[in-house]
This record gives sequence, structure tokens and C-alpha cells, in this order.
Amino acid sequence: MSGDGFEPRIVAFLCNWCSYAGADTAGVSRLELPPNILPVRVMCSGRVSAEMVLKALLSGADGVLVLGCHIGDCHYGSGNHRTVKRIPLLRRLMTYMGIEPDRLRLDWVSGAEAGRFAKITTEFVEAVRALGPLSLPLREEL
Amino acid sequence: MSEEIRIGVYICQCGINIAATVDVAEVVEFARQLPNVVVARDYKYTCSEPGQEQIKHDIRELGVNRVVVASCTPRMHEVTFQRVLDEAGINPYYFSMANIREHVSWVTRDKSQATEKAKHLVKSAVDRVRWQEPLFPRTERVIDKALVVGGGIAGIQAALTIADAGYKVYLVEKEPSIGGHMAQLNKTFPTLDCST
Amino acid sequence: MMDAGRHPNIELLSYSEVVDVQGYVGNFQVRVKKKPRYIDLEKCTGCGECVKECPVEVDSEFEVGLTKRKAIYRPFAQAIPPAFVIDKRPSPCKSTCPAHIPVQGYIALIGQGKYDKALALIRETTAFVGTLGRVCHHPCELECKRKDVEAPLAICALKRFAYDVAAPTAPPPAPVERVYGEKVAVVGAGPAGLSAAYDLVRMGYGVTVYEALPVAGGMLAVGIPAYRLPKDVLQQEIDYIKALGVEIKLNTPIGRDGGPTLEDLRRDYDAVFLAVGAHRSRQLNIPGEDLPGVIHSTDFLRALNLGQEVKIGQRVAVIGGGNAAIDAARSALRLGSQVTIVYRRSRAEMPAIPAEVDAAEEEGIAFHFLATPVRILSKDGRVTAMECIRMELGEPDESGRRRPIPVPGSEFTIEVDTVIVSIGQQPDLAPLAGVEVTGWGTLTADPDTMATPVEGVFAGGDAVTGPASAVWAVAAGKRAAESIHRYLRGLDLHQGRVFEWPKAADIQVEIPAGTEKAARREMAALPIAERKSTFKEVELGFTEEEARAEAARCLSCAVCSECLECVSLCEAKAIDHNMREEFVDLEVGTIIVATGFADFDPTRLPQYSYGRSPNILTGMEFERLTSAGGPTGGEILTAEGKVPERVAIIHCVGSRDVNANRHCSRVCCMYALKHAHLVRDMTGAEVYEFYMDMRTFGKGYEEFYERVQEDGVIFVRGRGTEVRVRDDGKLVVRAEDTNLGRPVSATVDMVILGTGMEARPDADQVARLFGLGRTEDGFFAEAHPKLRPVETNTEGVFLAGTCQGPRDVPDTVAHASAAAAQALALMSKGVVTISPTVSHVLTRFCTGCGKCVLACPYNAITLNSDGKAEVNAALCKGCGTCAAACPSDAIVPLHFTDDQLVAQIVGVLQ
Repeated sequence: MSGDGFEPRIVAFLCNWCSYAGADTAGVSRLELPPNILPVRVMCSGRVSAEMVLKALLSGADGVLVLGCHIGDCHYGSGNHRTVKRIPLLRRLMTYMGIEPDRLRLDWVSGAEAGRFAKITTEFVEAVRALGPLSLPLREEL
Repeated sequence: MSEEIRIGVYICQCGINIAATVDVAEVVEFARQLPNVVVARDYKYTCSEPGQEQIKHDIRELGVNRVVVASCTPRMHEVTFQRVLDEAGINPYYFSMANIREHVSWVTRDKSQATEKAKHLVKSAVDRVRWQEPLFPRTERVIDKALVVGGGIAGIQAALTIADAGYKVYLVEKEPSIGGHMAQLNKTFPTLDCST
Repeated sequence: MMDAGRHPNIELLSYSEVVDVQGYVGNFQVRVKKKPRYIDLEKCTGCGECVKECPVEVDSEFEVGLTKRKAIYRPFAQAIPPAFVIDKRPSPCKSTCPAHIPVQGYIALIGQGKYDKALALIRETTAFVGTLGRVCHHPCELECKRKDVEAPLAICALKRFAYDVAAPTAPPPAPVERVYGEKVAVVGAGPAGLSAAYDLVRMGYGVTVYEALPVAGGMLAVGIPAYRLPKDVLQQEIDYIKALGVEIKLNTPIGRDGGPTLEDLRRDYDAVFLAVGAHRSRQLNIPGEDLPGVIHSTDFLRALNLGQEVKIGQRVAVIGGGNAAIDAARSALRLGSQVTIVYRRSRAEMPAIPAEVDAAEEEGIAFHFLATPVRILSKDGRVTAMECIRMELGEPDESGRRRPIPVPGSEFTIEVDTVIVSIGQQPDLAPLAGVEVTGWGTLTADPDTMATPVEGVFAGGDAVTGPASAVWAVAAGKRAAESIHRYLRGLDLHQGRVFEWPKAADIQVEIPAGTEKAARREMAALPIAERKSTFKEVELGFTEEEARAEAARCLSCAVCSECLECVSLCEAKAIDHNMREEFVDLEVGTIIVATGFADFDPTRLPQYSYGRSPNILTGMEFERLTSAGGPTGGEILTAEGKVPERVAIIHCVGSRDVNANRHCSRVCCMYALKHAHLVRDMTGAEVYEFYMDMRTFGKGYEEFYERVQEDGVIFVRGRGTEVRVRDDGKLVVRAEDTNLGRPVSATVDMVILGTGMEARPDADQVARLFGLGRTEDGFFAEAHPKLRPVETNTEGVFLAGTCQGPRDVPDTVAHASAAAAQALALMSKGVVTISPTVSHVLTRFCTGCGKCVLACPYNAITLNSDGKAEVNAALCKGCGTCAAACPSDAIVPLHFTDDQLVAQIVGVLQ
């Protein structure tokens, strides 16, 4: 992550069945992706708890991306229905904590959607870059 | 767990698939400095027979008891390497993988950026493996009946193969008759013989 | 195919679909829905006699629309199983009809001139054919799909036609033999009571109907005037019911005037059906209501219908907007009075049948909408006028209609000498001791089964619903009859019955291509001048010609019309039109998904003009054309029946095309070569083959290509871009010849489109059912494109054939064999290793809040007797959703624990 400007660090929670596979497909397709995205594999986006997201932000991430299967395509049927409810709550909590809610994004990528994976990650990196580094008084305390 | 954690880290070059974009030697050097890492190596194809043997050797000779492989997607070879641990007498769940091919070398043009990202992913896998615990799979019996969904040529062929082997098959067809598209075909190339 | 049909180890579930899959590798529980075939597979001999009289024809799926098939059919001659099947779908008309009369059936029979059979078919459901054919408010017509073409069918008039033309000559029925010893008492000889009696007597019960009035028919007899329903029509239908063995006791009220009581009936009969109707008129509750010039429509119409003398004045006001009000007004008009209808809402809210309102207006009846009487004025004890107040419409009330609100100071006066009140009726329940009455003054009865809280007593019709239409009474009588039969036989009143039919709006009907507009026929009517002085029937019915033309407009939404012609033709007695869907539960260790592909629909690429000429064919259509069993017996002919002189074949239609599918369908090059060869071989026609690349990838394929080149086929390298239909019917194909580098065109007699393969439209549902992924082209995703070509993301579920991607026959067979081998490997091993990455509860932290129980997509977590969460490891699939929901970190997805993930997250950032 060289360069003069600010390079955000993004933790991307990818579910094993859809978005991780989508990221793999992006690789197989040799799409160029921003190097700022640091993937963490979970079995289902439903596994991504509030604690995980906050931990990432407090540990140096400038943004968190949660990518799951499209609604209806969840390998586990309804795991991502939980995620859909959790993320907006978390974004509100972040506002309360003084963190821009746009540092957290939830989206859907299927195993086939390499292009979509590239588009979402690129967009998100740009969005977080525009927000600047996450400075948190809390971060130091941890 | 009182046993000392001894981690072996194996960075795969994947021919030039990884090595062309990631400075593998630099990643190895980086990994070697990480806590609990007793050995870090790179190899042309870690998934190959010699690559697997090297891991087994280190488990036996160097007392490695946790293994991290940085190579392709775990969706490809996680099971392969878990089997290596198992064969070497280590619980296969003491294994962690960093995907530095699909998620790094194939999608990053700048070599220093790729190398940097690979280090992050390797560190992440090393930190994770330290917390991993042994797990033991259980076995269940398999019901000796098969369901075939669709009664076209593929379903019929599959059903007959299984049925001929002596197993019960349920063949479910949505339409009133089996046959599917195949039944509609007159002659099939290249021999122009009858399809039914 | 035949081997699969008779292999002892294969159980074929045809006409069936998997609806649910549970469990895990080695131990799947699968639920299969067996759609009703309406034909017993065991009994059907496949003789095909049943098809002969079937009146319905639709496009044959097997012949891709090149020929027609009947509603009862066998997909193709060599079908496995060889039994026939009836294509039966819900239809808006039958579904909407409260009595569920098989509308399409009698219309189809009328269309074929089988009027006796049409009448007999309606009589299977109801005895009131001529009656409902006249007085029904026909909700079916509102939903008739034909309305989307131009106008609904005249269903009601067609029913009347069946009666009018066939009933007078039909022989009287023989009495039905008693099957059961039990006797049923029916109270009230209206449409509800007589319908129940009709069904019960045909089931074999003894039925006695008690009627207070001197005539049978209830409101049909004493409420509806003769100009709508001639007395002889109703009487003939009641006579028909009596001829079957129903006893009707007239002038015998229950619980009053010396008649038997309800208790007596309960003692003397095994069941009682109360269908006493709603004959008591509601009061206006305004001053002057008790004056002698104020009468109620029920009394007025009853007296008129019973032939009693009725005295009304010259200027009559009728209060109300229902059918009874219109009937009273039109009757008063026929007695020579000037009539005004006063209704408190507007015309749109009138509950009366709109056609009746129109007829009243035509005959010269005046209307005062948005007005209601406030008092009736008199002089010397005689009505002189009625004071009304204007109303305006407010918010909708509980009936859904806008509530009328008086406009203060808007009073006005109408001069009248007679006021006929028709603002609703109620049942008179006082004589029926012991029954339960609702707050509306109606009888309490279960709306589905018609059972009342009193043992053995059922109730239906207007007495339960309040005043409603005749067909609702018929429906209630039928329901009650079925319930009484079940009650008497000790059967469950609900089990297996369908009370809620599909709503018309939910019934998908495709209007057949090429349906041309045809105006709805209306019945001729008596001239208006004649109507004013006579009670002769106003509507004159259809002529035979009109009826058949009207019947021909039916779109056959249900495909099978349920005319039951096939039943009488089937000697094996294999046909059962009442068959229901069944569910079968299976336990299997492995699943092979082999759901196939869909043919590309070339109408999506309009440049190929598919559908604009019958000589533009898809690959599959041409396939059928060359088949000995196909529409031409295997001859390659144009739609005009001529041997084509020039034929063009266009490759890659819908494949390798960013506007359709990007993938190569793999089979088209080879089948196009096959078609070219067949055309050359069988017709000698010139063949132009427009191709992009020739993909002859298989063993022996290139050799076949060489052979076709030697056949003299003209190959043009370049995508066929357009097909134009010339006025003379010839087809002009344009293409870019990439070898010559210039556009070329060919004028031909026939075009074969090399249509490709694509994922089936229901692939998404199938994917969800079996937990499959899909690739960008929509086909199911294999676990690895090279190393695991038949495995999927769901262990124990394998893919076979074209559901995974386009492939030809040899490759499909190979792929399917591979899938079978994988399944066999699992089954022969007998045991399977289950991943230990399941969730684990740390009991000491668990507070028993149950959040994990709700979060689990597999119902794998329960709260045990200690109030702690417990994971069923066999059901858990390790998604970890429970852990994210747990507020106290008490549930741990093994191998994806909080510690492990946090270490990974922190690690990746440092």
C-alpha cells in the first residue's frame, strides 16, 4: 500500500459459499482489485457479529465490508436474513460511537459475480478513502 | 493446552502464479519472524507430493504442531493439506490457510503491494492457527437409497447405473413421462442412430 | 428408457416434484409431491379410447406446438409410464362459482352440440339448471379470462340454453335407490334446502323437506317475479328433485301453527338441515311506516307470485337498491303503476345485478339516488307523499361501500300513494327453539361445514348468511349435504375437503396465441312496450347458432373441461376426476440432480422473425419434422405441404450472443450439420449453413462434418443476422460473410434456427431446494470446474447432465455415469464422515434466552430441560449464525470461534 495519499485498510468478511467464491472467481478472471481489501472467511455472513465488526474498526480497519449470498441464495437458507437485520442496527450504533456509518457496508455477491465483487470493493475503497482515516479515541484505549 | 505451539509456514510459489507478483522470499523472511513460527519455507508447488512431504518431514523432525500454508484458495486444497496433517499424526484442524493467489497475486499488479498484502494474510493465518483447537469428525451411516431428480437421458442413465449396482433408486420426473428432450430427438450425431 | 421403467430397483415417480429436502449427506429426508394424474396407473391399459370424445385441444408439448393434443393425452407413443394423463388446471369460472359448477365442461359440450350431455353434466352439480341460468348473479362472468380478449363469455345464458333446449325432452329420472337407512329432515324448500336434499337423495339417504308456504322453491318461487323466472321452469326442476325420491311437505311450518318442532325432527330424523331463508322484511323505523299504503317487497312479491290479489296505487316508490327492490319495482310497473326507486347510495353501490338495473331503467322506472325517506305523509289515513333527505357518501363502512351521510336541510318531497319497502330481510328464527343466533339475527353455523352447535343440526343459505344470491344458497346446500353424509357415516367433517378455492386473480392463464376477437352474444329480449303489461319472460334465450358461437369463444383455461366424456369411454375404469395431489416422504443417502436444460426461445431475438412465418423452425421443431412419429410422418415439408427447394440453417441462435446467452451451447453445430445432411438426403434441397465457427469437438464429429461438406451443403462463415419474411412467404436470410468480407443474403423456403441450450427458468428454485450454487450462465455450479465436475457445494448432492451446462448426448451419459459413480461410492462405503465444525454450547454462560434457537436456519438448537441451549450436531451445518446472535458468547461455532476470528482480524490489520 504505497503512494502518497491515504490508503484505507478494509476488512472484508466473505461467506464461504458465495462472496468468497466470488472473490476467487475475480482472481480466476484476473480482475484487478484494490489491494486494500483484506478478506476474512466466515462460513456465512450470519456469523459476522457486532463484536467482529467493531473489533475490526478498533484494531485499525478504516472500513468493514460484509458480503453474503444474495437473499434467497444463502447456502444455509436464511443465515443472511440475520445479517440484513444486524447491519443497519450496527450502523446506528456506529453513529452513536462517532464513527461514520458508511464505513460499514453490507452487500451481496454470488460465486459467479466476479465483476460485481470487483465493482463493490473498488467503490467501497474509494468511499472510505474519501472519508479519510478512522481516528478513534477508543482505539488507543484498546 | 500446555504443549508449546510450534508453527510451520509454507509459502507456495504456484509456479509463477504467485511468485511472479509476490516476493515469496520476502514473505518467508517475514513469516520466520512471527511468534511461535519455528520454520518458514517456500516451494514451487506446495500441493505437490514433495511439497506435502516437506510438511510431514517438518512435523516429524522439527516438532511442528501447527501448519499454515499460503497458496491458492482453501476451496481448492484445504482438504488436501488437512489430510497431510492427519497422515503426519497431527489433528487436521491445526491447519490454517492464506489465499495469496486468487485474492492477491492474480488481482494485484504492483509487486510491492501484492507482497505487502500477502504478509498481512500470512500474519492473519498464523495468528489464527495459534487459537485453533483439535476437532474430531464423527461418522454416520449412509442410507443405501438414491434419489434421482429428472428423468431425461442423464437421470435415466444415473438411475440405471445405481440400480444395476443393486441399490434402490427413486426416479422423480416432473412430466407425465420420462424421456425429457432425448425422447424428442430423432437421430443423433455422429452415427445418426435412433435416440430411444 | 424402457429399462428404467421396469427395473426392479427403480421406483418411478412420474408427474411428481421434489418440494422439500432436509437432512445431510447420507441421511436426506425428501418430500415429493405427486401431482394428480386423474388416471390410475395400475388400471390404464393405454388403449387411447378416452381421447376420442375429448372436446379440448391444446398445443402438444412433445411436438413443440406443431400438432395439437387433447386434454387427456399421452405425451408420446412410447411414453414411460405408458398411461394417459389429464391436463387439469384451475379455471377462473369454476373456481369463482360458489357451487363450483364445471362451467368449461358444459360450454365445451354445448360447443359440440351435445346439449343433453351438457344438461346432465350441470345436473351432476345442481338441479337448478334453468333456474340458475336465469337468476344467477354469475360472478363467474366477472372473472372469465375472455374479458382480457374483448368480453367475458355469456356463461349464465349458456347454462339456460342447455336447460331450455335439452330439459323438455329429457326423460324423467328414476327414483334413486336407498343406500343408507338414515333419514334427513330439511327445513325450507328454497334453493339451499332443495340442493341439500338433491345431493343427499342421490347419495342414498331418505330426505323429507318441510315447507311452511303452499309452494316449494323458497324465494325462487315467492321472491323472484315470473318475468325473470317463469313458474314452469322452477316447477319442472323441483319435480325433477321430487322424482329422485325427495318428499316435500308443503304448508308445514316448524315450531309454529301446529307443525312439528325442531325437537320432533331431531328425534324422528338422523340429521336436520335448517334452510329457512330470510323472509322477514326489515323496518324503515320512520314515522308513517304503519300506514296501509306502505308494504314490504317480500309481502308484495309473495302475494303476486302466489296469485293473490295485490292492490297498489298509481304512483309507487320503492325504497332500496337490492335485487328485491328492482324485482318489486319492475313488478309494480307491470301492474300499471309509475315507479320511482329511492336508494341512499349511488348507482355504483347498488347490490342489484347491474343488468337488472339497466332493464328497469329501460322499462321506464325512475331513480332517486343518494336519497332516503325520513317520513311518510298521509291524508285521511292514505299515503300521499314521502319526505326524503339527500345523502352524500363518506368513508367506506364495514361492507366496503361508502357510508351515506344525510345532508342537513336538503329535504324534499315525492308525491306517492304506495311505498314498497325493500331494505333487507332477516330470517324468522323465533320458532326454532334451541338454535344459536348471531348478533345479526342469523343462525350460527360453521361457514365451511355448515354444522351448528346443536348435535346433528346443520344450517345454511340466507338463514345463515342473510339475504344472498341463489347460487350461494345452492353452494351452502351442497356443503351441508356433504357434511351430513360425513356426520352420518362417522367421518371427519373437514378432512380432505377443499373449502377455499384458488382466487381467480391467482390463476395464471395464458391466452392462446392467435386468439381473434369475437363479440359476446346477448340474448334477444321482449320489446319494452310489451314488457310493461305482462309478466312474460323478458329474456328470450339463445338460438342454437348463438349458443354454439358463444361456446366457441371459451379459452379452455382449465384445459380439461371436466365434461366427463372420457369416463364413459374408459372400459378399464381407470379415470378418476376427483384424484388429489399426494405427498410421499423418502429417505435417501444421495441425491442426483438431473433436471436438464431449456430450449432457447427465439422470440427473444426478433431479428430472426420467429413466429412470423411457420417455415421458420427451431432446431427442436425441425427435429420433430424429420421424425417418423412427428407431424409429417418424417417428411421434410414446408407449412404449405411442399418439399422445400432451398433451406437455410443459422447457427448460434441465442448462444455466443451478448444479447441472449454468452455461452456456447455446444450441441448446435453438430445438430445443424445433422439437419443439413437430412435435408440434402431427403429432399435434395440446396442448403445454406451460416456459422461463426464450426465446433466439431467430439470423437467422429470432424469426420461427420467432412461427410456433410461432401453432401454439397453451402457453408457461409458469418453470423446469420436477420431473417425477413417476404410478402410471397419466401424467407430472406442476411449474413456477413467474414471470408469474403461482405454482406450476403439467401432467399429460401425454410429456415432452421440453431437454437441453443440455457438454464431452466425454475433453476433458481431447484438451486434453493438442494442448496446448489449457480454459475453466471444460470446452470448449476459444480464443486470444481476440473477436479469435481459432478459434486456440488452440498455434500451428497451430485449433478448429472445439462443442468450443469450444455453438453451433447455422449457427454451427458458420461457425466451421469460419473454422478452415479460418486453416489455409489458413498453408498457402498456405507458410512460418511461428518464435519466436526458444528456449534457447541458453553453451558455455564448460557442464559437460556433462546436467541440462538430463533437464529438457527436448521432448527438444530433447542432449549433443554435445564433451560440451556443444546445443539443437535446431526442437524447443525456450522454456519455460525447462532454465535452472532448470542448475547453472552455462550455458543461457539467450532473452527470459527470468536477467539480464532478475532485473532485473524487483528492479525490481518497489523
